Amino acid sequence: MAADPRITNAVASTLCDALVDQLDSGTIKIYDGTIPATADTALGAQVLLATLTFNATAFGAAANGVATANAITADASADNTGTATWARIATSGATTIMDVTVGTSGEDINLNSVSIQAGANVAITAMTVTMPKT
Amino acid sequence: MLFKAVLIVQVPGKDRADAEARIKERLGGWGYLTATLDPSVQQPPDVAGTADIKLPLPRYVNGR
Repeated sequence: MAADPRITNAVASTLCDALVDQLDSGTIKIYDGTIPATADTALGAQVLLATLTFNATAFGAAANGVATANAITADASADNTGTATWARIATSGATTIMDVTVGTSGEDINLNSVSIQAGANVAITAMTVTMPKT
Repeated sequence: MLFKAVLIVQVPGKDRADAEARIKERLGGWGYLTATLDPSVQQPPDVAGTADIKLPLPRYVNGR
């Protein structure tokens, strides 16, 4: 039989909370270019397009392994013009937690357009983080 | 006598022509109106979206 671990709802919620609790007042920085090979990989030539900020209590308690973000502060004026392809999510102290993909559908973050112009308002109106149980 | 006035206004518009047409529509009664937009103050389109992040769950335990 192939390895196939399954965790309980409670464990999934505990693991999810352990991650999202680090994001209080943290940031979502949206970049152009190629997503780094790993979340531990330093930034290269990617250009920062916009920075959004999590609430002081970034997420509510997870239920069944799913945590839902409280209101995220939009970037009222994007830093640069470019095509959004990925984002780095970090603590308030700028410690990277994870990298995620950005697109218009089927990605971790889905925007109405990946074409961001300098000065634009950039918002994420809802966010969930899910710890799979299987 | 005629006096020249420079107005600074912000108007919504699908594009430059649409915005200029809206200005003329609102202020056309003044006559002799020339609507010229300053591209440097044109507001870029808003971008908005949602995030649904599924975390990876390690599928191999103790090296299996």
